[in-house]
Amino acid sequence: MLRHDLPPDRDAGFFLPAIVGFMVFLAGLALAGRMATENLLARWQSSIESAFTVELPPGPEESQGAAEVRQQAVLAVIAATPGVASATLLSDAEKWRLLSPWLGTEAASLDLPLPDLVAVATVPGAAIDLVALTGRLQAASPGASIDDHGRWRGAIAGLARAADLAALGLLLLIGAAAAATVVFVTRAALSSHRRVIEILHLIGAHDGYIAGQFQRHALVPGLLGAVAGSLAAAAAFEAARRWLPGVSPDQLSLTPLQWAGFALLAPGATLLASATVRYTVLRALKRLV
Amino acid sequence: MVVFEDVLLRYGAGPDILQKVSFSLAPGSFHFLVGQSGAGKSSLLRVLYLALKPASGRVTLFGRDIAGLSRAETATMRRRIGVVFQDFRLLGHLSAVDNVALPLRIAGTPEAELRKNTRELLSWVGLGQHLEALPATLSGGQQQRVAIARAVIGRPNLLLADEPTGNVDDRGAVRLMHLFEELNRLGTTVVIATHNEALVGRFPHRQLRIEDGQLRAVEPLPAPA
Repeated sequence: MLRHDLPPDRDAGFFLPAIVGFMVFLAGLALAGRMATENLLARWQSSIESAFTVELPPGPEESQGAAEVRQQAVLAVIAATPGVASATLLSDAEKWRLLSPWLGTEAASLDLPLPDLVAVATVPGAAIDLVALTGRLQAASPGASIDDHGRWRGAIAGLARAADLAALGLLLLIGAAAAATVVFVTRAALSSHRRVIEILHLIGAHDGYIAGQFQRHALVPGLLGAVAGSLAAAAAFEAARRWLPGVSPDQLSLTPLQWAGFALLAPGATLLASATVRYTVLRALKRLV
Repeated sequence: MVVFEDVLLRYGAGPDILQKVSFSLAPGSFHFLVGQSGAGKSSLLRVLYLALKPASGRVTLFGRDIAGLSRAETATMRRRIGVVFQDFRLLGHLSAVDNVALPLRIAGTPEAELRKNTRELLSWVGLGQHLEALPATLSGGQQQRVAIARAVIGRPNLLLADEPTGNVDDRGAVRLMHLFEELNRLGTTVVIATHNEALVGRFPHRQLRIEDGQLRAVEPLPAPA
């Protein structure tokens, strides 16, 4: 235990670790939730970025044989494009399955003309010139177009930004609430230790020495609270990951690096609390004679 | 060492506690500050140990006008002043040895050196068997010796004691005075505030007599008994 000149008290012994622990628990949940969401969105983004869809409108009065020739020509153009991993012409059944959320399962019987769709997977990181490819595809199949899922990419990027802002705002709010509470507890401790402070001053203690005593006084309880809070947050996150309905554990997982960052929450919160204690004490002492 | 020039002290809007008090103390001197209870002795001491600043007049300590001291400079100057408070002001949760060690810890003395010096001093004042005792478990006289040890552990240039014989019998008071004289012989300037005129008469030191906040006379050195 760190040596200091202040007597033990209930504020530092119970309230401080309880407050710091609770705040770290909330911050831990917010941080872990944000990191897991970031991973999930990154996976979605990656899967969208490594695929695009080629849409081929049916030719007017085109025979089945001519359509197949045109489709093969398109597949050949796509296959010859550097960076393409695979290209698959969707069957009618697959197309109706994709449309069923909008048109219902009976839509297949309506005999609606559907465009041919080619699902293209790309090599991760490959930079394909989609404008040039569109030109080549239109030469092989007039009216061909490419859907690079740009609308979804924008939506995911927007969702990621919103999640970032929400997490940052939440962490700032929790940090501010924690700091305000630590200020309150420290002021109470200053009041209850007034006599000790006076004696220390009279025998030559600088304000910095006295602030240091309060920091030491709060350090171990604060650290214990922070560690307990971060462990509780990790346990709660793991429980949610495993048992939350509709969520598979893989969807909400953290990388080892993210867990390492999460582990910094306890020392970080302790440092924040310690700095707040020091600032509060120094400000209060300046108002004394 | 200490110069008071027309020092006036009052608490808030209250009456003047010290009125135009002027005197000086030479380095290495020994003075009694005498007067009845309520005459202003403790207030004068509070100015001397920098707990109060005068409403007017000038106080010079160790060559510095205390009015111009910053908070940090005040703290540093207090380290040159040892104080034995009337109520001792020991920290009840710290052992005798830790109470005495406080001034050295504050001054940043290495822990090993600090422990050695503190134990030696407590043994010197007869508390070698009570190093780890909490103040509440010590008698009034023992607490007073802890307070004295704390006041002198940092080898102060100026030692102030406020009614130090108030809690001890006559024999104890004389022994205490011999202890202060011993410290004075080592070069410490000593000021003892007391209303025990009988005790003062037994020791041949100068007297600052204060009555109703006014310094009436600086008594000449009495003839040795």
